[in-house]
Amino acid sequence: MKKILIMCAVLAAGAVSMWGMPADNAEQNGSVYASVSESRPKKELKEVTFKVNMHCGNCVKKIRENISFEKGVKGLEISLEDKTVKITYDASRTDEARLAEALADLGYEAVKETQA
Amino acid sequence: MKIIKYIRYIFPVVGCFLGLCVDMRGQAAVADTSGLYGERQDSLDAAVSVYRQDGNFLKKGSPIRTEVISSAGLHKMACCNLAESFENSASVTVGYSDAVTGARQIRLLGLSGVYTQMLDENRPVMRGLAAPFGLAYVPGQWLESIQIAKGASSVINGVESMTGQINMEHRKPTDEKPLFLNASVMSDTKMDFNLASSLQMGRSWSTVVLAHASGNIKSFDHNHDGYLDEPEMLQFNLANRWLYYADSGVQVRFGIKALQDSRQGGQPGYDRSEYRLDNISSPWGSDIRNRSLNGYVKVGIPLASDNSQNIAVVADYTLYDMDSWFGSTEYMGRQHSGFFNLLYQYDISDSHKLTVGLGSMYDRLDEDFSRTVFYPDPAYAHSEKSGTTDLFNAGIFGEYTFSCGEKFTAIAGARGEWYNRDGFKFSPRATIKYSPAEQVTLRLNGGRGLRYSMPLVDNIGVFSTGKAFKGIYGDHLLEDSWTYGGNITYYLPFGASDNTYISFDYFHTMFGQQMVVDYEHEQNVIDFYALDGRRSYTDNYQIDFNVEPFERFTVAATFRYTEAKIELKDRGLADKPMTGKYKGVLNLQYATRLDKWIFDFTASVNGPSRVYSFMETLTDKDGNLLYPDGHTPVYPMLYAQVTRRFKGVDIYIGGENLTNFRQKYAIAGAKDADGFVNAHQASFDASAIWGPLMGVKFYAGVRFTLWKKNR
Repeated sequence: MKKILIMCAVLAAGAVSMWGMPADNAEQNGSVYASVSESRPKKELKEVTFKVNMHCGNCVKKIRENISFEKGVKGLEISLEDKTVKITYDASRTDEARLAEALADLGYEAVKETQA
Repeated sequence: MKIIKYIRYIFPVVGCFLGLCVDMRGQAAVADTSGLYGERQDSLDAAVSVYRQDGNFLKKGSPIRTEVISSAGLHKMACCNLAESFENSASVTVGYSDAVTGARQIRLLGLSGVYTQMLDENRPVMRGLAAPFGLAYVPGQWLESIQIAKGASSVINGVESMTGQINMEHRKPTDEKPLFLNASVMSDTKMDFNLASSLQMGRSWSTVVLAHASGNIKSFDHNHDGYLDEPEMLQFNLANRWLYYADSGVQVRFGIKALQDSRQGGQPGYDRSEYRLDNISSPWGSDIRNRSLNGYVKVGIPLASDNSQNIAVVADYTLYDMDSWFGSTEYMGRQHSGFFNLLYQYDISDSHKLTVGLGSMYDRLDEDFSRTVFYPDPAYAHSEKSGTTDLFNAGIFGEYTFSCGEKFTAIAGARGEWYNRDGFKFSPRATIKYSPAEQVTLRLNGGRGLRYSMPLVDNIGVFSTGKAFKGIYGDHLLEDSWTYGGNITYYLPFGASDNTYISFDYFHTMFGQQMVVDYEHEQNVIDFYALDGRRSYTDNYQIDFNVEPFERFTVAATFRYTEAKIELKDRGLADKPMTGKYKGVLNLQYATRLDKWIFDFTASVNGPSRVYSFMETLTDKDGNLLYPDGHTPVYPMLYAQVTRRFKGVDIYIGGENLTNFRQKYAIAGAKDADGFVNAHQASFDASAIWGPLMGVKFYAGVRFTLWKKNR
């Protein structure tokens, strides 16, 4: 019984402490984040679109579940129809090359789409 | 670790090339028919931009009204097992069979779950002996999605589906997840552990191993009625599924599943070997051991290079053992079940498709049942059944589909079968889907359903009573019903996604023959008899509304109203007892960007149901009638969950039944001087359950997913 209570306490404490972590939704709002953290440089959000050799929903899921959690990623739109992955990212924390690398780690060729 | 290292180098898109892709809403794009081949259209054509996955939604393209609970929906709650996965749905209501065994049963279209065909990737499961506890034996974390099809669905897997079909899609061998782990603990000491590992070995072979262990360390009697609120349980469950895909297009799927479960409930201290009916101080309880072994194989052979013609064979065998004791009642059952389907599918053109085949189901049931209760007439004080029963049917079926683009689909199906106890039966079914405009979909379907009843195991709660059994409880009646109805869905032009809709359903089921289990014909008696020309029907109305008012905030509201009537002996047409009149569900979900935090809230309101006549005189401890108007009270249920997601790790905490509503006096019967119901009497009844037995529960859990790296 004690073990269970300890397990519960640890899980609950973990969840509560995470609540107190720098919230991602706060991070997402650049201006809010900047106003409470004057010492850090203001976030520069950039967008990049990659042409990716996706095939089906499994690929979409895999990309969504992994790229969402890459450092500096702030937004993600995946289109299976166009075979594109559009990433909004914090330029101070990542760059196009690292994002392409992350897609390559998942087994996909990612070619930056150039605007016509 | 070596294995993980190895699979990192495997060609990354094998899973996708196998035609086993998962569509945009988490549903495996296997054909509804054989479950072996994908639809002809290439999944690359799917034109969907993906932002996030919906939890529960109506499947747009399906000819039959189909509600999908996706993996996101399954993560909205604890969903430790299949029964708990339906809490978000108004279509399916989940209740307890009794107050002691922990057995859960569903209701679809206002009728018992035995009239709903349960499918595991299009193989019939949870039949006969495997039904009463079957919902507890499908761990929610093993599932990828659930599809609930209402009404008379396809004839291909038999016509046992009277009110509908519930198909479960498990995690796939082709999933690029070599390791998934889940652990959760509930405040009532229930713990769940799940493991899944999908491994791909080259282009042709892939496998998934699924393991589950759960149990509770302690059971409680929170309402101090002398009976445990839930039994002490311990379950082990292991499955291994394989897929072989040859370059020629031949697919072979096979797998095994083994299960062992034990549960002991009732009064603490119950010992089946010591229990004596005439010793009123010996504790009453239930002791149940279930064991099961299942094996299946599916083979699909393409006969044309474009997959327009193929042959498929599906064979499934289940051995199920149930040893159970309820006080002095003993029920030992062993069931051998076989299912066989041989199909030929021909897509004649884009507009015409034909499926024909041979099908058979076989159940050999060995039963040893004996029961003694207090009853004035010695002829009924003891009931027993012993011996072997064979239930078998075999026949041919055909299904023709006509499609006119996405605007119109019509399916006509029929099954002609020979039943070993009832001769030849013909079961036609028809479905129409029509979209006069892009925003509107109209669906109609209807047809016949047939199934052999298993009076005792279909109604496992009857063992948790002191009532005498009369009638044909040892017989297996071929139940016969017709269900017809439809759905209209209107997609609305607002909201942050294109999945804003309002939908209305109506379904009617009427029985030509049915096993009636009548608690009201005589006092302290359960009478089993055939409907034989009396009336039994249900009318169901349901409205669903789904909207995403702004990005990442979804609202799903649904309300069902049920009118269920049955003509009972010497009583006439009456509301079907213990059947809720309505249920409303509101689900709100908000997710932060990239789904890093997910907040879920679900509220439901459960309408009244008519109580059995013997319950009308039940009183509380102060002598007040519990059900003064003959109906159960309306009660709310609240659920909430917060999920925090990291790369590969989800942590969730939540609460169930937050209003702490519980059915009071769940054990019915005359009370002794201390206010307890003694089980050693004819009026004892622990099966009159209409509400939750457990109060508020909190839980916490963690999910770990290791994704396959491909370089």
